[in-house]
Amino acid sequence: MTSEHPNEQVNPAIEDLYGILRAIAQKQMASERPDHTLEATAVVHEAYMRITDLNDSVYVDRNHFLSVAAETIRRVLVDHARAHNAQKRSGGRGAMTIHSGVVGSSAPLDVLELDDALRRLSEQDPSYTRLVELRFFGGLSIEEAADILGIGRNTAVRRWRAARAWLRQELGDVADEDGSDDA
Amino acid sequence: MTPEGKNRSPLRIFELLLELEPDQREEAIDELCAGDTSLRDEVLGLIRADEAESDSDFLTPISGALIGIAGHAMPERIGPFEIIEPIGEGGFGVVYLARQSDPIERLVAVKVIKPGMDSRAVIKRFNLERRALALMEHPHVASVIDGGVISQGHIGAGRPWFAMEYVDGAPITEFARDHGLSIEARLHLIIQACAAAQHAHSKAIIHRDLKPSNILVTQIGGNPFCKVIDFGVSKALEGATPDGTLFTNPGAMVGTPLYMSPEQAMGSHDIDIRSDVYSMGMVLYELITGCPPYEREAIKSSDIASLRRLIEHVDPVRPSSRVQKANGTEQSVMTAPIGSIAKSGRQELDWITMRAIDKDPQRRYATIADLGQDLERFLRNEPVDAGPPSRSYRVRKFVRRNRVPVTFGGITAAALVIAAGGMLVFGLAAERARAEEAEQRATAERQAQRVRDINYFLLTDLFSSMDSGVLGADASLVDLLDEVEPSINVRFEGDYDMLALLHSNFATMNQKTHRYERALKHADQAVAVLDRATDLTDYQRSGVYHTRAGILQVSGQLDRAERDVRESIRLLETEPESTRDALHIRNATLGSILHAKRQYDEAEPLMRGAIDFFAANITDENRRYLSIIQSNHISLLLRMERFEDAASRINQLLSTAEQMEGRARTSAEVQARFWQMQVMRNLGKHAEAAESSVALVDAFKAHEGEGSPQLAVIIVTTGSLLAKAGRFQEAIPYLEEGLQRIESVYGPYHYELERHTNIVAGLYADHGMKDAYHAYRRRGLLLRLYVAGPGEQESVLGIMPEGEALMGTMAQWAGIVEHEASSLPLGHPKRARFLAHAAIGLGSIGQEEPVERYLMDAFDSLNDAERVDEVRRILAYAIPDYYDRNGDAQQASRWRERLSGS
Repeated sequence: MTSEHPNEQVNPAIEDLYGILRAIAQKQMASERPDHTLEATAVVHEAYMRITDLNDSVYVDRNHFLSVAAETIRRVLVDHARAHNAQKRSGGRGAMTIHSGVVGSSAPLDVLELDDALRRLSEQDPSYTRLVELRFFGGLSIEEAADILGIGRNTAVRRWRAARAWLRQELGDVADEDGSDDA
Repeated sequence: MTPEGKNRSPLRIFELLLELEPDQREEAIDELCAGDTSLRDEVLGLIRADEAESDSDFLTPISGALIGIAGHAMPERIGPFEIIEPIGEGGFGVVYLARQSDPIERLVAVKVIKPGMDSRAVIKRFNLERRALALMEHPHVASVIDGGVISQGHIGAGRPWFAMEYVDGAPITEFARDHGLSIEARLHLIIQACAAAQHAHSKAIIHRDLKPSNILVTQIGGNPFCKVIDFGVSKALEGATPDGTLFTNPGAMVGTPLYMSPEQAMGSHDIDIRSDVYSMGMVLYELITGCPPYEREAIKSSDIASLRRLIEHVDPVRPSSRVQKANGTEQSVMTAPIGSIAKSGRQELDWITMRAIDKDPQRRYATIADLGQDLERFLRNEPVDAGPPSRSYRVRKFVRRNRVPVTFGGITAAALVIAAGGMLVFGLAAERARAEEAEQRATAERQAQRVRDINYFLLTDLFSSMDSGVLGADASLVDLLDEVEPSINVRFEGDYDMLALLHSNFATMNQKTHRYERALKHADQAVAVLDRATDLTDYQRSGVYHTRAGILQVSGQLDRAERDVRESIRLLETEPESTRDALHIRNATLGSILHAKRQYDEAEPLMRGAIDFFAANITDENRRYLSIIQSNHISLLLRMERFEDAASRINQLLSTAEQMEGRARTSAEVQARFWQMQVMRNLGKHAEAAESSVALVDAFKAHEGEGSPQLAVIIVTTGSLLAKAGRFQEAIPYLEEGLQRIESVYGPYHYELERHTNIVAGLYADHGMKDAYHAYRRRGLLLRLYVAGPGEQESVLGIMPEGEALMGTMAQWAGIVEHEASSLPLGHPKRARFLAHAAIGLGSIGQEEPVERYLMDAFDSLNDAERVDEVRRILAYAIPDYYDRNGDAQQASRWRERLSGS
């Protein structure tokens, strides 16, 4: 009988996903260096390669793709940061950082430190990490993220505040009092 | 779930505190931390961190993706109310918490309706209802206090607003889930809501928009207490949308259609209290099963026509069939609350719910009080008023109990034809059971009729369509089947068994030919007639559900897919051992659906179980299934970052492949190589990844042939992996060949080409090959102007400074763009998009000279454009923006108008 075949399909909508991913990466990667978009392109390419499967129809819609993409972008950034660090040890550039908000409005975050902190947060409760991934790496709004996580908007707002407070503490509250002066 | 355990986390406690008033927090901390001083310190630390950063940009996504309430300017006052803070946002607008000081001091909720509604009509309707609304006084009804229009000179002037009693509660479904309410407690809440609605009905007020977010639950004296809000609001809003119905488009619609009665969905003006009965029934359904009768996803992604079809014609499955078998580590959300009660009780609850949500208002409870009373009877263990849905239900039950041997005589001929398409059909596992003689005679008669119908179908419909010259001599089987497709409903009218199977097969055929909408239509029809089919075995029924699950999965409707596949698994429970393989295939399908739903931990054992089963019961026939499931399993392990496991599973896949032959074998090998490359890549082992990738290229050439698009992509990827592995000289030929292939497969303006051109440019730059970098980069930047979509404004703007940096001066870069533009012939499908983006980009950097010319040219080329809607959207932004920028507001608004329609 026909339906006895295991699933082996390609998602018909996969075509447009690259555009979405590129849009995220351009939002998320910031740097003062003029070649920063090249860097973003590389991140996107890498993330895209990692999440496109030959036979896997695991992406069902934009939101769903975004949530996988957010997770993957985090991983790719971390891998990049590790590579940068290796270069740094052999005399290359400094640790890789990522900005949040409007560039310059808050201290750039060290990608690896953020990743470590997120891992520890996951040990406490993975639902907070998922939310941060969606918001920060995936660039989703509270509403979109709440939708994906299946929680109410108000719950998402509270959870987001909790996660931010926790991470802020974990990453050391350096930028607040004196950070603005030596920017 | 153990709420106590979870609440002990400092993060959870912090969240709970945020729900409280600031002055209650201190006390609550002590209570929640229960003497645990280190926990208390952690919580206090979070509060300090939260206060310290409350207005910083810490962790907010770049470029202000933060939308919603934070982005709105907040009015200070609305009517007589002082606005405190926004508390929610919905399809209709924003809700603010506000303070009333006169005549009494209290908190109120003020809803401001978003622009786009005809505010005069809204207010007129509201005023008509006002008198009635004022008469309502019921503990479970949140009273409406006032309504009006924001006056001129204030933020949001002209927008209608409603003020109502403020209820600090959660939607009923959310509350029930978060507090793990028992089924009894849930029913008590619905009974309260029924009483509220009944009260309104007695004042001639129909709610019209009952849904979980309008049925809020708070705690009073520790007991859940329900309040129904928004009475009168939807009546006022109805008819206020531009074309006069609630059902305009799903995005602009007032509220969600999920709970809307069929008569309301049809836009009937004849809505009565039974419409509320229906909506309440839908909430009841969700409350006892844990999920809505139709998935939100399905609703969101459907067009209006199919939405209507869904609401008007598709019966949801009975609540009790949502009960999932306990499945080890299964999450509580998956376990339907209704599963906690005895089977007989479940059935009665099914009857009550299904009666409330009957498509035909005449068959529903006559009043909402009747619904509430039946629920009360149920809770008191008294016989309920609602009965089983129909007689045919009982008949089918009877037939199932006395199952007869079913052999579809003559079916083989049809099977032969249809099977030739590779999409067959009747796994008529010989059935075992005896029945009474009369039943057998009836069956025999049905069989005879069936033979006649099938012969007719074959001879008249199928073969004559070949004869008739409608289709050419070399028509494929698919063409042929398309041609006869419409006749099956006529030919087999009333024979629901045949209809179910045929529709299911047509579904599969359409799926295999990637026509998913048609596939789904057939699959829906197949499932829809299942209840009326008498002779099908559970095994066959299971197949019908499984088929639809597969189609739903590729169509992105995961919740529905999951439900179908679970139903297909349930149907196999009573089937003999010989169907074990089918069971494991379904488990694997469930696994891949759960993978897609990111429930990895649940998915993984299902797939592993299926692999173990097939590995232990291997035959030549099911070896291919094994390889596919293995491949899907590996993909899951990668997602779970279990790279070591994945690596060993890849070796197993390779040994499965060794036992296979032909295309299936190469296919499995290609998969395995691809996964190997991914594992290495993820582990940062570039050298190994490059090796795997080189092997993959060869495997792919053998498998797919030279013209394969994926081959082209894999060749460039191999090049970039070799470059990363420090083998740049070897990488160059791969990069060059790959780009050429991509261009010849996808054409010169495709996003795949854009992507890889930019990648290759980057690699050349990294290795100091300036000229090559320059050439590819220039091409890559131009290509981006061809491929960017309407949502990628930033990307287009970003290209310009890069172009300047590349070429040295802005004028030189503008010249490059100009040259590209002049090389595009009129009528070229990419002309409009390129010119529009060039205009946006050049305008953004002050190169205004060619902008107007480009924009007008783009507009003239619109008719020839590929994906014309997208280009129109781009121009709808770009042209008015240009004129605004240059101070010609009149032109800007003329163009805005011209481009805003469709």
